[in-house]
Order: sequence, then C-alpha cells, then structure tokens
Amino acid sequence: MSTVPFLMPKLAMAMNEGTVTQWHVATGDRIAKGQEIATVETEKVAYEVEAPQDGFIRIIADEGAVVPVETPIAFIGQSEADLEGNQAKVDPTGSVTETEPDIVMPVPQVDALAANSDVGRIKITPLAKRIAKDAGFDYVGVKGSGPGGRIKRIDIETALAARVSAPQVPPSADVPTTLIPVSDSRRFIAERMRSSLRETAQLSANWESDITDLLAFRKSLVSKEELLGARISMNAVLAKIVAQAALDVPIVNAQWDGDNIRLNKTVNLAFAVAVPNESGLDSRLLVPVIRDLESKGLAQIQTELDEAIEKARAGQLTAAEMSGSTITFSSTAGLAPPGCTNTPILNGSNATLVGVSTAIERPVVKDGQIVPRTMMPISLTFDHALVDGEPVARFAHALHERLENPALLVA
Amino acid sequence: MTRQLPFIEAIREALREEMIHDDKVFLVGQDIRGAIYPHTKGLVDEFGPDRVVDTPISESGMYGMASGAALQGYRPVVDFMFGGFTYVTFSEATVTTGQQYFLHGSKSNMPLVITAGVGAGMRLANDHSMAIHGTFAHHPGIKVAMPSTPYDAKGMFKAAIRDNSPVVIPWHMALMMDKGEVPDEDYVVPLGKADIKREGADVTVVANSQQLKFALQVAEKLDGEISVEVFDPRSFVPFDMDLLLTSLAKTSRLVIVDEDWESGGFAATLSARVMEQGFDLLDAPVLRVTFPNMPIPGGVLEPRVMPNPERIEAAIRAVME
Repeated sequence: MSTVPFLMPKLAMAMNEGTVTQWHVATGDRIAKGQEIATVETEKVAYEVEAPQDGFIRIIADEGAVVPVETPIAFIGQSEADLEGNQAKVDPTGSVTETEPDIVMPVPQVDALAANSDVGRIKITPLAKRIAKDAGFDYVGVKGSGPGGRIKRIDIETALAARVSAPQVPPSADVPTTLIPVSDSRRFIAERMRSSLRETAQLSANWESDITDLLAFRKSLVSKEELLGARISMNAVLAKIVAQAALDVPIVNAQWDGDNIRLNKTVNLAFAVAVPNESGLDSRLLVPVIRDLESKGLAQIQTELDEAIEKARAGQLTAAEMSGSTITFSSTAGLAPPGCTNTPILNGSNATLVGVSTAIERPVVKDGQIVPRTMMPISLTFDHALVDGEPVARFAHALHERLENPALLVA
Repeated sequence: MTRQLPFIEAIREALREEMIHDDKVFLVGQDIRGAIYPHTKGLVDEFGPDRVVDTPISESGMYGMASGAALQGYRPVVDFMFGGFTYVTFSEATVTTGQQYFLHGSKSNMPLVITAGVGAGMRLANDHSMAIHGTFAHHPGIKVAMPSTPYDAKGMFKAAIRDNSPVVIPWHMALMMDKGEVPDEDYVVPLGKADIKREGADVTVVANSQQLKFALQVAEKLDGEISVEVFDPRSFVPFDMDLLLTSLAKTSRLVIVDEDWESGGFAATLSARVMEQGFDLLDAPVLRVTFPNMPIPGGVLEPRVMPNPERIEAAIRAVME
C-alpha cells in the first residue's frame, strides 16, 4: 500500500460535516508528519489539521467545499509516483486501474446522502430514507439500530418524534419578512437546547442576593488594576464565587458518565458568550471553558476570560477550548431589565448552571433599618435527575453567602 | 352449503364437474384410469375411455396429442403424475405452448391444463420432488398457479380448465389428504388473485402449498411476539402484485418462502420485482427461504435441506433485526 486517503476529521460528537476553509499546502507538495496542512471549520470552531504521516499530498476537496466527516479530502502517497497512479483512478474518463485495489476513491460529496462508497456511507433502509425525506429530515447522525448500524424506520420515527418542531406558521402574504438561512451553528445550538430539555429533568431556582458589598469589593480591585495587571470584572468575581460554592457542594459539579456519576474534582466553568452570527441577523452562542478555577486568582481568571471572549468574537475558539466543562455560568447582567429572573437551559452534560442578570436597587431591612441595597437576581438551573433538592438548596445557600460576604473569597 | 373434503377429492370434483359442464374437456395421462392418485378415480367409468385417456410412458407423445387437441378446440387436462416429468417434453410444454397464441396473431387459443403432483417432504428425491412452477413461470404465455387448500384447489382447477390460455397447475403431494371446507355450489377462484391467509403487521411471509402450512405454524408460534402476515400468492402468473404491495405498505418486511431452488426461482423474480416496485416500502432486505442449488436428496437428508418451519422462523427473525 502506498497511498492513503486523508479524511475530514470528526472533531466532535455532533460534527457531521466540515468545511475546508484553507489549504496550507498544494497538490504535489511534500508534507511532514505533524505539519499543519489545512484549516477545517465546523459548526463552531476552526481547526488546524495536521498531516498524519510524511509523504506527498494530492488535494481532492477544494477550499470552501463542505465535506462529510470521515470522507477523503486528500490523498497522501509515499512518492509522487504513487499520487500519479492514484490520479488515474479519479480521472472520470479513465477506467479504474487494476493496480492498488485497496484505494477507495469516493468523490467528495456536498450531500452526504448521495455518498455511495464505503467511506462515509450511511446505511439506511429505503423506507426509513423515504420517511426522512418526506419529513424534510436530515438523517445524518441518526444512530441506526439495524444490523451493522443500518438506520431503520423506527430510528427515523424516534428521531422525528424527538424533534421538537418549531411552530410552522406560514407567513401571511402581507407581512414583510426576511428569510435567514439556518446556519450550521444555529442548527447545532437548536439541537443542543432541545436535547438538553429532552434528556434532563431540569428546573430553576430563583432568588436575589445582596451584592452591595461585592460591588464595593470589586471596585477596590479595579482601583488596583495596575498592580493586578488586569481590570477585574464582576464576571471574574462571580466565576470565582461559583467555583468556590461548587466546591462547598461537590455534587453540583458532577455529571452522568454511563453507569457512574462522575464527581469532578476541579471546576471547569463554561462561560456563555453571544456573538453575531454569519447572517448578521441572528446571534450564536459560544461556550469557552475556563479551567481549574478553584486554583486560580481573580487576575488570572480575568486574563483568561478576556482571551476567551476575544477568541469567541474572532471565531478562533478550538473544540478543545470549548469542551470539558463541569458547570456553566451565564449572565444577562446589563442587558436584561433590573431584577430579571430566568430559567436558563443546562449546557451539555453539566448538572448545574448559574445564571445572573441585571441587579436592582431595593429597600432592604438590615439591622432593623430599611436601607437601599443592590440585589442581584440569581437563576440556578439544575438537573433534578442527578442532584436532589437538598444539595441544591445548600449550593444556593453557599452561593448566596459568598455573594453577600466578599471576605469569603479569601477564606 | 359446504362440506369437509380432502384436498385431492376437491381436485377430483373440479375435474368431474368441468367434464360435465363442457364435453370438450378430457383427461390424458399415464395410469389415470386406474387412478394412481385418487383425483381421477372412477372418472373413466362415468365419462368413458375417450375422455379419460391413458397413454404409453411417452410424455412427449402424450403432450403433443393434447396440444394438438387444444388447437382443435378441445380442453385437455394433461396429467404428468410427477412434475419432474414435464421436463421430458420441455420444448413443447414451454416454448411452443406458451408462444402459440402470440406467434399466430392472437388467433389461436391454447386452452390446455398441465397438472402434476409436486413437492418435497415425501422423501421421493430428485425428479419426484422438484417444483415446476418457477420454471414454467419463466416462460411467457403460460399461466401458473398452485392451490394450498381444498377450497382453492377446486376453484382454481375449475378456473384453469375454463381459461383459454395454457395453465400449469401442479398440486403438492403433502397436501393430498388435508381436509377443508368446500362449497356444494359451483364457484371458481380466479387466477391472478392472491389471498392473505393470516393477517399480521410486522412481516409479510409469501408462501404456498406445504410451505404455507409451515408459515402459518410459525406465525402461530410467534403470535404475541412478531405479528406475521401470511400471503398465499395462489397464482404465480399472473401474480397479484397489488395485494403484495398493499401488505408490504403495512409490514415493510418480506420473507419469500419457495420450495424450489434458490437460483433463478420464482422467489428471486419476486424479490427483484419488490425491489423495483416497492423499494420505498422496505425497512429490511428481502429474504428468501428456498432449497439450496443441489439435487433434492431422498431419505433422511431431505428435511435438512428443504425449507421448513425452523428456517422460516430464522428468516422472520432476521428481517426483524
């Protein structure tokens, strides 16, 4: 064997196809193992793919081509002659050469459904295929329960039943509308949100915590910006507090793992960032992960937050930078009206999400006096299948105490 | 009114009634006056030796006489005793007979019936056990049918004798003494109409004659676990494709049981047609249960290679995976 196909990598479980946005090498180039040879974009990330071995490359997927995962985008030969032999195989006018019968030569398909080679081929029964087609349902990624993973009617019907259909109200003729093509990222977010609601027993607790002192504490840190090397934001402070409270009640920092519940010993905080989508008419949500929060100071957390947000806006977050979270933090502070409470939807496999929103001034009874205080609305969503009410109440209490008593940050 | 009649007696009634109904109908075969099989028993006494004709053991001569008579307006029923013997006169019985009508400008009817005992399970081996329906179904111009019950036997033999095309209608020897309801009054079972012998929702099993009995046994055994629809084609040519597709629209899975060889048999034809006409209905590949391509052995080997309830059940379970 002297020529091997180079496949579109599957970078995440939910990844079905990717776009080759840029080749860093050209057909005929000598490449070295580990060399970055192309940039591949998925629903959410741009990824540099590396050469798996030394050799000579022949590119078959053009820049901009959308290719199903595990489908060849190039071939790598040990010599230039290898590639020439391989070239004869793809020449549409030439018959298949007898040499190198081990090479499968599928043409990269924009439509995975049309792919008809063993590489990237989807096994599906005719009936299942028809049902999917009639329903306008893309069955790529549906798990087949038939022999060899063949998708059967029952699999499509189950997937269709699970698909919470968006209200299909036809726009009336006299209402002016703009059609936004559903982007990959929107489709991805939609599926994540729906599967979250489908697969967990989630609900939200809401309360307000007095952050008057915390605001003053943060202000004092801002005044030491030069010393700290970072301008500490409320988000960094809140992230640290969430991490500390999570360590107080470890079960909220756990997740399902097959037959086990995995208790995470570090707090990796998924931090929701909204950025404008390609169309400019809707947004998309990215969730970078700040790792090992429990062992990091506020300045470092701030630096990492800034970096993550910047990367998110530039579309440079990698899959690795968005995976491995153990708990989620989201904030609509400053955007939503004061005192706004939510029921945020759990993210990925996290059991808990802490959501905060815009604080509100309220008259509060403190030491027998009515005083104006700044109250932050907290929306705590948790998977009741994994976490019982009692630990959630303790977690809420820990959060509340830590929000109201900034001194605990250093305790 | 109906009575319980054995399968072979239902055939005899059909022959007798049609001989009364139309004096152009006559029987020709070997030892049919003496009635080796009881479906011709006593007929020579009632209708005389001119209408129940024994010939020497010369299938080509016997068949040539019958086909000439058919061209002259008679309606012969040619009895080959064993289906395997039809091959002795294969060119006349298939090519000449089937294409006569077409080659003569649609002016020359061939109202002729070929019948014979067929089927495995009696340990008779080779040409005493082989099927002929698939072979004749391959040739244009010939209708092919095979009854599975006494009711169907009488009605289908009557329809065959009244038909102006050549009709091959073998009967399965294992069913000979099976009893079933048969009406007193005259009736026919039209050729080309299949029959759902048992309703089901999960898988359609096409089976005929002895294999239909096996399929029904399996369906009963699986009741409550897998809902099996048992489809008796009755006619192979013409075949009731509409009813099969209707059944598949419900079950979406198909097992074809055919007591014939695997290669080029009717099961293969049907499987291809379903793929062509009902591809979108299928939620699993079509499976066939047939003889392997080997001479049908006699003795103890026969049950090991013939289609049987165990193999039918295995195929049903396979398409349900």
